[in-house]
Amino acid sequence: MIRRIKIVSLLFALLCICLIARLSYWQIVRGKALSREASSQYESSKVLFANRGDIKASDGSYWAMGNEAWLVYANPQEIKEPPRSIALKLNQFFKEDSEERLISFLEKKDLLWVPLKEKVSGEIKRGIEVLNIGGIGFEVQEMRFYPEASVAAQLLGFVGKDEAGEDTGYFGLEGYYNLSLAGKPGFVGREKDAAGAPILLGGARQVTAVSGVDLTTSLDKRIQLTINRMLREGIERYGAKAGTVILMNPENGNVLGMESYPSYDPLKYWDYGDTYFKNPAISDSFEPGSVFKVLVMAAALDAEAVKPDTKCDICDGPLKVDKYLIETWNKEYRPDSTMVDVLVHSDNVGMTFVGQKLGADALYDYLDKFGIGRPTGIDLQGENAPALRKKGTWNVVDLATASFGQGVAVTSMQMVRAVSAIANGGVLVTPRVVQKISGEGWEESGKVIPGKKVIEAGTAQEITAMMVEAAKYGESQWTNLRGFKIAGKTGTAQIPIAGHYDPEKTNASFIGFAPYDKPKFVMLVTLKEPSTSPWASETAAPLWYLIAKDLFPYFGIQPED
Amino acid sequence: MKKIHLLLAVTTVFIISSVFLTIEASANSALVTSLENQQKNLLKQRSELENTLVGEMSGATLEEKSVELGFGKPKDLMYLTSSEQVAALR
Repeated sequence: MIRRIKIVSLLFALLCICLIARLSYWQIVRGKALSREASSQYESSKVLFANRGDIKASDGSYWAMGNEAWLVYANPQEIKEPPRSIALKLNQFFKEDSEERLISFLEKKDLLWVPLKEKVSGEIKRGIEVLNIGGIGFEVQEMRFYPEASVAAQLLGFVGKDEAGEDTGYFGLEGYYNLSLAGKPGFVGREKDAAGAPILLGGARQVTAVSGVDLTTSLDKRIQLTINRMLREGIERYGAKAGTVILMNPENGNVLGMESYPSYDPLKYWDYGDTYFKNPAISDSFEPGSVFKVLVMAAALDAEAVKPDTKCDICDGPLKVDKYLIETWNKEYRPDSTMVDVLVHSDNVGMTFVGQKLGADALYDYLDKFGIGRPTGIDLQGENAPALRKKGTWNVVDLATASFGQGVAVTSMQMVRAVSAIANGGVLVTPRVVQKISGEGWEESGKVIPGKKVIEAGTAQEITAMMVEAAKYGESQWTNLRGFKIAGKTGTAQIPIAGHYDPEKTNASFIGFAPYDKPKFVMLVTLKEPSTSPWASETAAPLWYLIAKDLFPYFGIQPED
Repeated sequence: MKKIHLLLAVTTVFIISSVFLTIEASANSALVTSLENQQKNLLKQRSELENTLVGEMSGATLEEKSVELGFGKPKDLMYLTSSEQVAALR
């Protein structure tokens, strides 16, 4: 009997040891792994996406907004049909993807989740759902929607992916305000029952997602659509390679419209080359040519180096400066031209006279004050600012050529800003696109940077009067809108190539503002290498006036008589 | 004896409350799930409607449609000066 009891006890002891060993194995050796496995069964966690903020026009309509899209994924372990058959079915929706690529994803049997296609529309999702393919699922995503397609594309930028595969804004407003627009994603983790419903008495952790802010811009949709359409027509009409139009309120620096062509569709940015993404209005520099003369003349008037009625005593023929001969654009010379005549006839010799009267250092100081050689500070990503030649290093040739806009480089935005100072009584403002930033229940006005006085108000009036004369009696007088108060200046600039100027190609520009006594806008039109005529007076100027004519009723600008 | 009865009664109440609370929480969980799904669907519908509306009302689309409907922009504008008064109206 005792022997039996001992055997049973031994058996129990052995069983206990086995049990302890097994429990130790589960608890100690496999403890963490099993705990994770159990957690995955009763805990659910998901990232709460932060909605990207909208970008709106000045009237509250949309430039860019969030749109619901779907990530299509496969669980290869749940796929019942042959991968080739599924790939064939999906390929009708993912036309740009090859079947082989889809098959290679679907054959990854060791994986539970394989992304097949990102950012597909609700329509495509419904189409795939109808096919009822086992092992294919969807996850919600956010896709950017640009209702005006390629209009203002280079100004808006686009949303692409960064190195980590996260949505990121590039270029323009999307790039400049990326952090504010993106918001901050949240997280929710909680316990769930077998049916997947949350266990309210269980543990839960939640970090609320913070949506990105909305941006309200000064961009006027009516203006933007008009300049978009007319710039395209103008480029076609004059056979130009590219073009840019900028409209700005000179009083406060609000950008009313900015368009360049060729452009791209931000919804399909991957179909275009990198060269389309940068905004030529702020990134591309060019030799401004004669439009630059208004800045040089304004500087000379302000420094009292010349007066409007000062006579040019070297304007009777070509001028030799060092080893270079400076000529007028049409080889016509007007002895004793006044400064008004010099600007009206865009006289290079006359402008050299002005430059010599002003001096290189003073010219440099004024150009610096006008913001030439430094970024304008506009709230767009990708601004470029070609540097001015260093002060004190300008020789007589540099001074002479800079006086009529050669040998210096500017961006279109710099030029608009500088001429805005003339239109604004001599005060230089900082261009801005965003007027208001708003979130849920709050809003804040955009940063206002006070203007800086560049020239005296009297000087601004004098140079404005000269620009009015240039518009009325200059080379572009044939296209001038009679009766309207317009101040403007044409600019035909040769294109520097490999140490010399291209004899045939030019950049044509026209810059002006209206009404000249209380300007509502400053507008610059530039056309790159127009082929119908090399002259701005026959290309950029008529386009400027066409756009202005279209916009005058909208601005409420009427003829003076 | 009374103490035992009291203890039993309290325990019974606790057990019943616990069961009731569990059932209630479970029912509410289903309700929460249902509400979350409804919210998700409504947000989805709102997003779709918003996008359709914005797409249809976009400036480029409206411009195109207005031309189709014959609402072209005037090519030439005539500015008229108001005629001068020649006699006072009484």
